[in-house]
Amino acid sequence: MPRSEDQELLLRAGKGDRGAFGLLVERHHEAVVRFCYRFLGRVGCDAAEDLAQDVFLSAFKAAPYYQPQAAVRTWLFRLATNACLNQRRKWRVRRVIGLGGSERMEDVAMDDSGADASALRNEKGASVRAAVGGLPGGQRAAIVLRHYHDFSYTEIADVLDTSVSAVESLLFRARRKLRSQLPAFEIGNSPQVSADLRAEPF
Amino acid sequence: MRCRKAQKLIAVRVDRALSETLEEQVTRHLADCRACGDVSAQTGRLGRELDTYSTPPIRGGFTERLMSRLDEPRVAVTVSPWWAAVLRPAPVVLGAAAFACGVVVPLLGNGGSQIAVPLGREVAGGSAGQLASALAEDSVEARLLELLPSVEE
Repeated sequence: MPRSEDQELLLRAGKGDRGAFGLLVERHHEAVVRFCYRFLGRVGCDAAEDLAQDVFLSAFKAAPYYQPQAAVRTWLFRLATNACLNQRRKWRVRRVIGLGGSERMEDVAMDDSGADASALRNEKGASVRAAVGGLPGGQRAAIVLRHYHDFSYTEIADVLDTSVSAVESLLFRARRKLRSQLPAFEIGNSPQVSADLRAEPF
Repeated sequence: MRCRKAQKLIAVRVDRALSETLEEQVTRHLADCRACGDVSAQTGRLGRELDTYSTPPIRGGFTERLMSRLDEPRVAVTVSPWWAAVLRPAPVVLGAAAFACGVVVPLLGNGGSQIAVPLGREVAGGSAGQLASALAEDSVEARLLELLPSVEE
């Protein structure tokens, strides 16, 4: 099977070619930062970017061991998912223990300046953000990968190291939970569903 | 087709990942079932709601900053483990314990002042207690980390 351009770049990076690694970062960093931002929930863009930097540093370190069977995008997002899960776990443990340094979630969250604040002022976006952030890790990863990064079920299964049917289940439960939590779906806010809407193709 | 199965498939249908046969079955079910029709419409609407969650613009220079960090020794994502805060006062506690052993205990042995008895107990008890609690909390963290699944399902 011919290797993709990304795979060639990563293999070269594994041999120490920093230029190739730089090109790879240039191609994927925006997606990884956005993924971290959405996955971590209540953090500012800077915290998401810091974590994304760590993801790429891990990628550079792991590049010599990369097996070209896996798609580079899937491989990178698996690293990113693990990094996000670990980060949230650390925050949670600190919260449970009642200790926390400067990296507590609350401390890095919600800087009220600039673009973050303007994004939060968008009430609808903020409620969606809170609802997505409240999903369990697997469901959150699945919905973010599917909806915002257009991953196929098979790709999500590869990232989460699970089966396609498990991904279907994760997405089903995630959507059900989101519907139950978003104000737009509360009784009274939901418009009457017409027969036309029901027949609406997706 | 039962509603339960239909509703699971509706979620897959949103992602255009249904086979032709299943697509046909779901469409037929939706034509007859108002409840599933509502779920279908709401699932479609959820997609539009999710679109409202935008991310702020990303700062420029990400690649340059990253490339300059490639030579740095690898640093963990978090600055320090949680128990570092517990162990930070350790030198003070150890000093106090040494003081208790070197000064207070000999005084006690010599039938020293009555004030030294509670003071000696307090210092010795405090240091041992703190160390024990630090160790206990360390194992609590290890147990918590074991209990927390990697994917929270």
